[in-house]
Amino acid sequence: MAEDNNAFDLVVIGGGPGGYVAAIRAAQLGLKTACVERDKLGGVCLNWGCIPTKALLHNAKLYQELSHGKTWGFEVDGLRVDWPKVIQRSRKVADRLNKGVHGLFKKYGVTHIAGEGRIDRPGRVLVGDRALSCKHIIVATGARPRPLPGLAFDGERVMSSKEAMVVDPMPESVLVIGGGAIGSEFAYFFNAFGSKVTQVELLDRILPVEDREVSEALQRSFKRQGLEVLTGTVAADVEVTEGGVRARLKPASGDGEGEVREFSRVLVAIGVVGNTEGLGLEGVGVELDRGMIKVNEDLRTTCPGIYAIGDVAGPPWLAHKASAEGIHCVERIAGHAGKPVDKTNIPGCTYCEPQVASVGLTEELARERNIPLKIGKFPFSASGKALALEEKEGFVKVLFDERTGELVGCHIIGPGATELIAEAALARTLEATEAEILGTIHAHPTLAEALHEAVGQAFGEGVNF
Amino acid sequence: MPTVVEMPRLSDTMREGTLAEWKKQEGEKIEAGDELADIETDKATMAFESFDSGVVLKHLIGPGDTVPLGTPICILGKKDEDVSKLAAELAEKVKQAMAEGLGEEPAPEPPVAKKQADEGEAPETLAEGDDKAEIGTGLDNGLQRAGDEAEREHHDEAAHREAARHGRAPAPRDAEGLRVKASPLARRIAADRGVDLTTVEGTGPAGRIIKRDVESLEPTRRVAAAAGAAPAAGAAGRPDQEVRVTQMRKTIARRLVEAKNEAPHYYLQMVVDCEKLVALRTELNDSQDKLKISFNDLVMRACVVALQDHPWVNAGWQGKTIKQFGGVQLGFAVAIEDGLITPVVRDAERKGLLQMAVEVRDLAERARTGQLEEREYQGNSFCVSNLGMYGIERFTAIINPPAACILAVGALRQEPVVKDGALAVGQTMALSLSCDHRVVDGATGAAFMKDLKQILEKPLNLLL
Repeated sequence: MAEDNNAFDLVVIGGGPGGYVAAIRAAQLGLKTACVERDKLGGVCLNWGCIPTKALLHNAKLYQELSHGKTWGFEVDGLRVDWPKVIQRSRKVADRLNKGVHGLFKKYGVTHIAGEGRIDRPGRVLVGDRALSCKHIIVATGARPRPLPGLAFDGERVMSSKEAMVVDPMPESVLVIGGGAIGSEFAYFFNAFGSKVTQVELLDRILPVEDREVSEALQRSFKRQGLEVLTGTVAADVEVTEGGVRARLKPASGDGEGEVREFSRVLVAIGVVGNTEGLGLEGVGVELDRGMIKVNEDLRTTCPGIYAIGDVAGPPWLAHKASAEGIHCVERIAGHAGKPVDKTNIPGCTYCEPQVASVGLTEELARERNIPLKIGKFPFSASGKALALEEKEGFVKVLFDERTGELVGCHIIGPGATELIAEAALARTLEATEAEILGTIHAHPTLAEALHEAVGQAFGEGVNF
Repeated sequence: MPTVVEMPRLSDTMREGTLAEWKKQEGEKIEAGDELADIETDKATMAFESFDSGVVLKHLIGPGDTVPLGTPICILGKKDEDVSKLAAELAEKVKQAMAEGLGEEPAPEPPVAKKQADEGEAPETLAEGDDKAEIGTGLDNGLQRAGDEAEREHHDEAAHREAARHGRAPAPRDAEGLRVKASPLARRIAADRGVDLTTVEGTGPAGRIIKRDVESLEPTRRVAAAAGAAPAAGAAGRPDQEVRVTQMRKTIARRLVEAKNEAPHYYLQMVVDCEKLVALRTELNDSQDKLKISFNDLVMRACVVALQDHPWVNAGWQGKTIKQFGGVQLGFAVAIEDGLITPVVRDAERKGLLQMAVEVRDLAERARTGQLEEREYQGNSFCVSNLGMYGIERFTAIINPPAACILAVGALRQEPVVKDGALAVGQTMALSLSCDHRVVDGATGAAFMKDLKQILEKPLNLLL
């Protein structure tokens, strides 16, 4: 009897960093797996999010550095940006990784099915006119940028991150609505390439989920770089005009009418909406919670045999969280103990310059929980390596539970922050105390020494500050 | 005349005090009873009320300074009185006291004795004062040593904790010597809370013990784990209880550990034929109705008589000297609620059997009702402990400093004895003398016991 090529152990709907990782892990564990993707494998992350933006942001940084060539002893005359080439490079990086996922699917024997998947009933997924039978279904359809009410994305004047990534030409002025990671990255990006940027945030600081000191340091840095940052401000009455967009920027407190301003374009980065439509979820009794699929610790939905992972299963909306959930979910399906996702130990990164990264609790949250703290802070201005790189901005801040020496949180703003945070996350996972961190020799000269020094500061053993 | 204020004794166990805060500044007037300073003792920060009135002329120590009891801390006097010379002298003394801290030197004499000495009272009184002072000093020394040890222990513990903090808490091993997998944080929390990791089940990867496995442990679980065998608490059984250690228990514990550790004990045991003693007691109690004389009274009296000829037994170790007590300060152990205490019959050699018996009853009664004054239970030169009334045949006791010996008295029993080559029913009592070998050598103690036996067996000697 010929093998039924429509029968699987597992069908994953969605091929982003949650879905494709889950599919590969499932295949490794011996499950016959299909991954249904309506667009490109790798999802938003790889094609329209994390990766291409990082390519662009690196361009921005390089351009900034070249523009200040004199600092480095370079005379750079006639520096010119070949914009299409910049975009092209970023697309090339994305394409290459997309091909990489195809290669991985082949390598591990995951069946890639192009098209939109819809759950017909538990154990049955329809893709076009093809019906897949399976024991388990994972929904990994992700999320999409949330539009401002009454202001649809038009890909032209009203951009989401996706359109912003391929914008051409550079707009003269941009209104960035949102002070989160995406808003801050693009605000930095447009400013670095010469746009006049105004960033507005409803709350009293940008990156409001980060430690207050970090938010404040970033805001100061943005202002030095020439961005206009308006916190405690809402963009009201945003409308498309002939020449661009118009918005009334008014205080969030409601005091005053604010000011009507004109911009070439607006980038809306106010969060995401789960991609839950058209999946047949209602028909099988999969419940939602505030637009996201409700799941338990093992990523089970309210319908047996159906699981959800990643953005569509709720915050934090991060690729690495989606991957981790995908792996745990599949390991549980395969009967293993799995690696439950500890949401208190997911690092968060923002790739503007200076970079911001953190893991664990902020000082405010730790104090709210009455954790007695030992705090250490080390500025990059005292780091030899940072000085050599001409990156004196920022600091490493570590929070320890005074009673136990537990690393409660680590907050970094400055050079290499997004790389450095891995050490703190590992320390937290292994439950290292300050003794283990201080007892670990950090190579000199490196940026990583700053973390070591910050821990030393917390325990009165700092040497270089 | 300026008055020198010294570091006061604000608690029984206080050996030194730390000035927390001056309540009266230099130049301020003070009345007797006003708070002069806050002093941190070993127990708490206490207000020190001035005994004298006057003007505060000079503070000799500052906040945070720690000095032994009796060290001058302040000069009071009349307004504008010149005390610069005295102040300079005393400052030198204070400096020395602070530098020496609490060395092996006897602590300064208690203020009482000093005052008497200063005022030049009659020699007799002086001698008595001296005596008291020395008794006090002996105790101080003992307390001091205990304190030093406690301090050392404290240091050790602190060092250990420090090591646990900065060194990495070592990975524990189970009974088979296999490493118990536990995170550094879990190891530290376990160490802090006294959790035995070999009894904990880990829920981390591959059974690794992590924070959540130890932080949620119930205190009872920890105690049971620490005790090793944890008997399953049956529904009907009485649960384990942890009882707070009272101040008295602490003192008893400290002093006994100190005495047992410091004094090299040895024991001399002897059985006494009490036939005549029994007869004497009957006769005594038949012939008078003032007080019923007990065997214990007779034994105590016998000790007093015997001690007259054995000054080396009526003595105590003082570090640099051995003190032979002039009189017999006869201590006796009294069981009281939650502890025991040893009241002292003063100068027992001057008291007859009846007078001593009356005093013993009074002291014992007041001991039981907690009405003894400190001086009534301190400074014994010899001690008697009797458990005969509980039917204990024989036992050994722990020496009660400053005395060098304690006599443990067993029950009076009917026993077969050999009398004139034939078996007979005898009345016997076992005695056991615990001796501090630093003071009393074997032969010295044995000679005392021989005499004691003779007195008890031929009790007319009690009259001597």
